[in-house]
Amino acid sequence: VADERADLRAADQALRDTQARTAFLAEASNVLASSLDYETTLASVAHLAVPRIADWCGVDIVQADGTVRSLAVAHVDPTKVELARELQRRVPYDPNSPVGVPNVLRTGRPEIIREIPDELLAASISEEDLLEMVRDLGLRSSMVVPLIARGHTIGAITLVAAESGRLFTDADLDFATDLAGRAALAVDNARLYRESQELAAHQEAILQQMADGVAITDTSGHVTFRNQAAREIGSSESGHVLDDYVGNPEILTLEGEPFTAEQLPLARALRGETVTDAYWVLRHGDVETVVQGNAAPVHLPDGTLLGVVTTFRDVTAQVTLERQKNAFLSAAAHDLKTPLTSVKALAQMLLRRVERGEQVSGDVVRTGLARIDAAVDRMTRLINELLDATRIQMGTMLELNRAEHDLIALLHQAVQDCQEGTEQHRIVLEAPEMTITGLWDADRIQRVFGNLLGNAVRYSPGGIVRVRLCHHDEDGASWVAVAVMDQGPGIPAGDLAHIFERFYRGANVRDRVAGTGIGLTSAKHIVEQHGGTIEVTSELGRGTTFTVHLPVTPPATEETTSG
Amino acid sequence: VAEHAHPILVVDDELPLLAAMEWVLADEGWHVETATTGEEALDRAAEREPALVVLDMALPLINGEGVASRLRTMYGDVPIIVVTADGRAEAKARRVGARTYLQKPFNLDDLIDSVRSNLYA
Repeated sequence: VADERADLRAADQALRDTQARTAFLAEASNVLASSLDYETTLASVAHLAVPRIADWCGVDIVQADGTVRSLAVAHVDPTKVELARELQRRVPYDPNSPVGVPNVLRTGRPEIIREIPDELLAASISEEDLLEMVRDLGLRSSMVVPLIARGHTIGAITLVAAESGRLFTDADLDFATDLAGRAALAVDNARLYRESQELAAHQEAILQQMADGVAITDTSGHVTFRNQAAREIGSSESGHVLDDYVGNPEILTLEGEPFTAEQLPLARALRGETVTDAYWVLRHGDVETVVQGNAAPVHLPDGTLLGVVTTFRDVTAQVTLERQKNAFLSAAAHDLKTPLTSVKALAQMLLRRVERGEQVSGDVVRTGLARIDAAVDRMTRLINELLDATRIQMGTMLELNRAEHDLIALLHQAVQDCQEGTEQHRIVLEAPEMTITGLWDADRIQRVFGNLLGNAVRYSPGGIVRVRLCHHDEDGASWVAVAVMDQGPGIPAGDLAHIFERFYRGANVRDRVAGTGIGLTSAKHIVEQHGGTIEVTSELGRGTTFTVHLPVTPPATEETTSG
Repeated sequence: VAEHAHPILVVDDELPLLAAMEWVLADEGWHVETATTGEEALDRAAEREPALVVLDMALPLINGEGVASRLRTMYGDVPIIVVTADGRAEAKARRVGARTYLQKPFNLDDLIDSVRSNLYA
């Protein structure tokens, strides 16, 4: 009966132990899950363990550099904790120790010492006073269980029985191992979370620093991230999904058409394609931004599509210049072909008449050849102008061929050349003086006025083009102002500030009248190299006036003897 | 005699070329009228229906395409020969409904052949 009672008591105790352990594990799990700050949660678990599971509980963690740090030492009596801390300070950590935390960290296997023999204490602690101190603690039984995460031992939990007098059993060790498993998982999760947070912070810093725009979308095309550059370029905001981009009049192809689902880089990337060197145009009101970019799908290692990363940059300036250059080249080719066509046609016309054996009058031959001659001159001037434009673009100064010329004679010639090209306009030269002699680069000065007159004729339907010359003295220097006035459509105010820029052409003529967009640029350079200025005033529907101010550089004064 | 009733209208703002075209077409016995701007071309066409129009595309103000579309309104399918230094001559010709185009610089023989085939097609 006594045996039965003893058995019953033992069974009852075992049941209560199991219940207590289960309750403890549940509580410990809650603490571990309460926060990602694993140092705090592990310390809490250690405190939870005393005195319910053991009299002492310690937690040690292997740090990133391989050293071991004591995270927590728990005992119900704080003065004893202080003793333990002193022990830790005075007994250096020996990684090769055959027992305790070093042993478990090395082997990754749990260790149980059911009854701690005094010899073990004496072997571990050489200093007498320390040994006495430890003996006074009355340590009786101990367990050390490893914290193992993904195959790596990342720390250990130490449980020691002392004043309670209990001796640990295999069941206790199983329980401690279970606890350590849960704690290790919590540490691992917290570390992974922290690593991913750090990685995300680094990546975000890199993405934000990038000069290129970066946008990340999920699988529906919804933007989940945009960096600063992307915002500045004005990429689509979050809230859009794929369908909002297709056919959207604010997101266009280079040809100015809304995207189809087949063309849209984002849609192509969502279908698995890596899109490189794509172009699209963002239109906000009147402002168009040309964007060049790449789009690539992002997959998990198992192939799951996460979304799309798009990188892009604003290439509006480059594309605009490219378009202007192309327009310039075709206009230059056009302008060169026009007089060439005349030369060819006139030569063929004369040839036909001669070959037919007809009597060709001297007048016809003379007129034909004179026109060929004039057309060749025009081509020569155009080629020189193109060469000058190239020099100006390369930043080289033009080498002026200054010689003594009469400006009024140069103007007469320019007016006459221009008049020969038009029947709709009457070009009138108003000059008060017979001659104004100075040092001019005759070809280039003539080209300046040829350009201004050519523009006046080209951009106005007819009427009078007036060239008015005024001569005045200013600060002891002699100046002329030559105004070329047309009765054309005028230049829009927004274009006036840009018309001397290379390749720039007015919005109201760009698509209607062919032109290279270099005439005014080189005119300005030529005038400025002569020490002068050029300015423009214009009134829409009334006409435009270009005024060239030139200093009259007198010919080098020769010693003349007169009378 | 029929050609006198309906002239060939040649439109180009490049005067020496215009003169050469006028000469060779007149040499073939056709009655030729000329214009140097789109406006003038439309005035000539309004005065007398042309049998055919040789039309430069790069005219100032009212350009070749504008002239062609108004000619179509006036005279339906009057034959047009597009003359242009532009590299996209064929596309331009198609846009204005011209059966023939001549890319500058062209041979006057080709001009004559084109006029002939358009007139007597």
